[in-house]
Amino acid sequence: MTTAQKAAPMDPLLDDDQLSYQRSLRAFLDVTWGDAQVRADLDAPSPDRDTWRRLAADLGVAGLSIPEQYGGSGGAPAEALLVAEELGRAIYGGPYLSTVVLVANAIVLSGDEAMAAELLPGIASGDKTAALATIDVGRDRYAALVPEATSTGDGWVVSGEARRVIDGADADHVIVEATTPAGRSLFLLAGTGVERTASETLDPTRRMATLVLNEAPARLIGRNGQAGEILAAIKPLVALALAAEAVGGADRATRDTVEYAKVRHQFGKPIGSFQAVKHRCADMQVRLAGARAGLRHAGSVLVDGSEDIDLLASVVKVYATKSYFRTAADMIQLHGGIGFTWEHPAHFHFKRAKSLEILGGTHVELRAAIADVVLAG
Amino acid sequence: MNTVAGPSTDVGDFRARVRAFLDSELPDDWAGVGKLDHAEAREFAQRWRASLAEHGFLAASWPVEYGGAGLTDAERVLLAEEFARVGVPTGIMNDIFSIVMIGNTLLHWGTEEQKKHFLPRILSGQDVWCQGYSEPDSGSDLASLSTRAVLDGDEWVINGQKIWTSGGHLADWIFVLVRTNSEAPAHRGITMLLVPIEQDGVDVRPIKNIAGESEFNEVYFTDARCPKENVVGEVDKGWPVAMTLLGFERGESAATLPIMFRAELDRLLDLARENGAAAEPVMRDALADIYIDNEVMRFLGRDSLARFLAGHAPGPDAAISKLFWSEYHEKATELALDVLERESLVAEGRRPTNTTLFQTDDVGAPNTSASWITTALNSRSGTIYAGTSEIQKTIIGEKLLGLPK
Ligand SMILES: Cc1cc2nc3c(=O)[nH]c(=O)nc-3n(C[C@H](O)[C@H](O)[C@H](O)COP(=O)(O)OP(=O)(O)OC[C@H]3O[C@@H](n4cnc5c(N)ncnc54)[C@H](O)[C@@H]3O)c2cc1C
Repeated sequence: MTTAQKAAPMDPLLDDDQLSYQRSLRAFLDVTWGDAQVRADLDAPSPDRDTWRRLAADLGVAGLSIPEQYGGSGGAPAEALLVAEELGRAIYGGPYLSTVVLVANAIVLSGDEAMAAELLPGIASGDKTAALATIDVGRDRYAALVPEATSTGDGWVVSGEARRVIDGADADHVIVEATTPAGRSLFLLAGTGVERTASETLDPTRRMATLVLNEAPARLIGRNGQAGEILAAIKPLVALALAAEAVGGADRATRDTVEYAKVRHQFGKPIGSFQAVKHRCADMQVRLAGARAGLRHAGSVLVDGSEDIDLLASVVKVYATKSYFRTAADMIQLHGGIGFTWEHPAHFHFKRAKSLEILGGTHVELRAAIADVVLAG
Repeated sequence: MNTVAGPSTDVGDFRARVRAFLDSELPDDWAGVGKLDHAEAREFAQRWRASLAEHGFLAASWPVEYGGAGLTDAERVLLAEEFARVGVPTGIMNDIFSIVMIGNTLLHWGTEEQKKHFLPRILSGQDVWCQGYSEPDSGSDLASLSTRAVLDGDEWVINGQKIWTSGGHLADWIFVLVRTNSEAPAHRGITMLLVPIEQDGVDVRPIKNIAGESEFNEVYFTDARCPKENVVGEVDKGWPVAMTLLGFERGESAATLPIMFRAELDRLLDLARENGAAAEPVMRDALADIYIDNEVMRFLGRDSLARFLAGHAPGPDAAISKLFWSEYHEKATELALDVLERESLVAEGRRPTNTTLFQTDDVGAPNTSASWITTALNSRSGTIYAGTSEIQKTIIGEKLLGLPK
């Protein structure tokens, strides 16, 4: 083990249990999700399920946001961020974000007990995966008909199109946000009347799909018109999970780059001895320190509710993802030609970082939201 | 008008001649290679190159006896500028190596036999070249290279490895820097050899880049051979040869680079109007900011072109231009992804053919997410190849400003 790796777990804002959980996650992922698995999963026709089941069953990652009565361990939001961080560190793109962060949180916060009883145990155990297709058009020039739900008397049918649905091609359950006369609502698709097409994603480790719904039978989740409220409630959790992935990824990118700067020699010296390189590495570490401290702080606020979590999550998400992107760009640069190859992991960081910047609220959107709060008289 | 060479040069009716050529050779509705799909673009490139060769426009500044058009520097720049404007290439991708680099180098340093043998074969397309400088352990520190060549009778025998060889998989020949004297100081024992790739001792293996394409290669030499006379310049004195070669490209790019990057920026502004980013103050600000950088690139282009046309040899000030455009392009394409916003999460539609030197998408290319994503990824190499940004800054500091080493 190198000194850099030994030094990494030193984290005064985590308690002993959290540190030990972090170590277990890291040890598991180091073995099961190395570079070879990352690459094998890219080419696999359907995503890995095995590692995900073990993450859920052996390490309990899926149950952290799920109450005990539905098979989870309930209410451990700070630990949930540790999971996202370690998954980001391992460049893992499996169902955690879609199934747990988006869907499990949405179901729990909907208060729909029947749905919770039906869906959450399978999610907590790792047997079932789920995707959430929200109405999230932004500046998309090709956004087609926003999904619209129509009542059939004893149920609903949904028609329309959703793009960039994370894990949308493979998930066992698909939940869509659709408009009804009462407003936006969440629906669980029965399975028919939906055409799922996998997309070529910017971040190849994160699968997305386009869903075309044609009178797809569906059941309402929670109350008719409740989607806005549910999605607003999960928004900070999503933003922080994305920030956590960014922190984990940036940590890995920083460590790997620093290691390389120590061993790569040019002009008879390690390149890390050139100030231009050394200072870029130092900038990486400064950004990482800020982002990680923000994440730890947000973890504690999720538990004690001592601050406005929406504001805090936006702050941390913007800083952490922006930092990750700069660090990934520097990682490519400091590796020279090797950093520009597919064989080297630098591009995975670069692509994931850009993707994390855009998902869950762009920088422009989140900064506008921050300005609204901090500038209010 | 976005002309760099135009007003300051006396080129008589040459511009009219070039325009007449373009009018007669291109279809009426021509709107750039970007309007063609990949198969069409490849086919067009071959046809176009043949017609350039036929009209002496392929290596236009070469003397007529070697198949050029004997153009002056000013005319050559104007030609490149007119071509860039209508979105046609001045050759195929490897012509950067075949014509601009080794062809020009042979004109300057080559023997009469070398010129007579190699130059016509380059123009006819019979020989396609690539550049074997970098090695796994010698990138920024090129002079430390360790690929070796020793004389065995009438032939050089070469052993070692080159890497990052762009277009190596498309080439028949490679110009290689080799160490021929391990006693001498690093810069003094290097020789430039001309080596045929089609032989058992040379093995070209593609490397996939971050955009998923195989554009550069590793080249292994295992007792590879070339004739004794395939030395450019003198034995052990290849370093100055290697360095002049890097300067040849400068004049044209001073003229074409601002045009290509302006065309790209225009496409980005179109995108912003199309998807509504143009209505957002934050995006307007960012776009205005990148426009400023783009303009400065044009100003710099005029400046270096004026120096070039005044006959100044390429010097360390070329580092300013290289640093500026490559850093600009990363910034501009990052902004493009932010303008695309959610669309940039997924690559859709036509992607670049990657035939341009500066990795901009083809002129006239549609504003697809695949275009901008690929361009943004490719742009990351601009600050690495041909001397990294760090190395360029060191050159500016030490060679231009005289700061201590
Ligand atoms: C797309 C692409 C195409 C290429 N095509 C060709 C080709 O056709 N033929 C060819 O011969 N080569 C080619 N190259 C190679 C290119 O020239 C080298 O990659 C480049 O010179 C850097 O060398 P390196 O990759 O070994 O990085 P290194 O030299 O190892 O650099 C690693 C990092 O250290 C920094 N660094 C190194 N030395 C110093 C210093 N003294 N001070 C401060 N920082 C320093 C660098 O800036 C960089 O950030 C290509 C490269 C790319 C990416």
